[in-house]
Amino acid sequence: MNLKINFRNELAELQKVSGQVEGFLGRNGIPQDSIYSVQLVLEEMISNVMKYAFNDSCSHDIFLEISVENKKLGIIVEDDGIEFNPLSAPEKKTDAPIHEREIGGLGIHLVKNMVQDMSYCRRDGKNHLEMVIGIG
Amino acid sequence: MFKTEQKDGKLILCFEGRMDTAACAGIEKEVDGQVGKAGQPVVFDLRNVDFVSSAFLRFCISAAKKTGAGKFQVANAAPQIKKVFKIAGMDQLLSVQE
Repeated sequence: MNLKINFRNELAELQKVSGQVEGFLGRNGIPQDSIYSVQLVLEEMISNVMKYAFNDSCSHDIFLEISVENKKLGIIVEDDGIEFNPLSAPEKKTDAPIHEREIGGLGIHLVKNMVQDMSYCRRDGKNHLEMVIGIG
Repeated sequence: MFKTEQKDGKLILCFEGRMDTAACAGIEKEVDGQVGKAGQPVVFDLRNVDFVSSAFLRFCISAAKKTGAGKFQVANAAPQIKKVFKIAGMDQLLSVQE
């Protein structure tokens, strides 16, 4: 079973998409903690795309596909923004005292620790990101 | 999206709903302002929050820096939210009185 959505690069769209994904996963009997993981991963990766991938003021389409198969959830995010491989982002240090922490870089750190697998490629002028989350 | 109250010499910010990127962007200035002028320990109460993203964690780092060591806490976080704090290496902010 899968869900495919195309949406514009606006934060308000992300909230709508998140609701659609929650409904789809709930109807497929996915437990709440896995739904939370998917929502967090989408929130972090897609808001990053919206904030940093486009240096024009045009509307862009972002493609999302969620699939449910064999106790795993597959997530594909595709955008035509600036080339960016999240796997190449520097590792976030999370052991420093809180008041000495830098503010940025947390989102990708959360995602890397939530997913079982993550792969990236640039193809046909698009960023193509695939992630897998375990169910339960 | 959040209410404030004074309790036992602390400023409590009680957040509500989904603390995602868009919601946090909408209240960032107000939260920063409240925390910046608090002059006393600050608590973020999450009893009515069902989702946090890294945008909210950034609020917490910023609040911890503004209030000073040991004067900032996060209370009443749901298990899935505690997990996010743990992954971020920020679980020391979670209140132990739960």
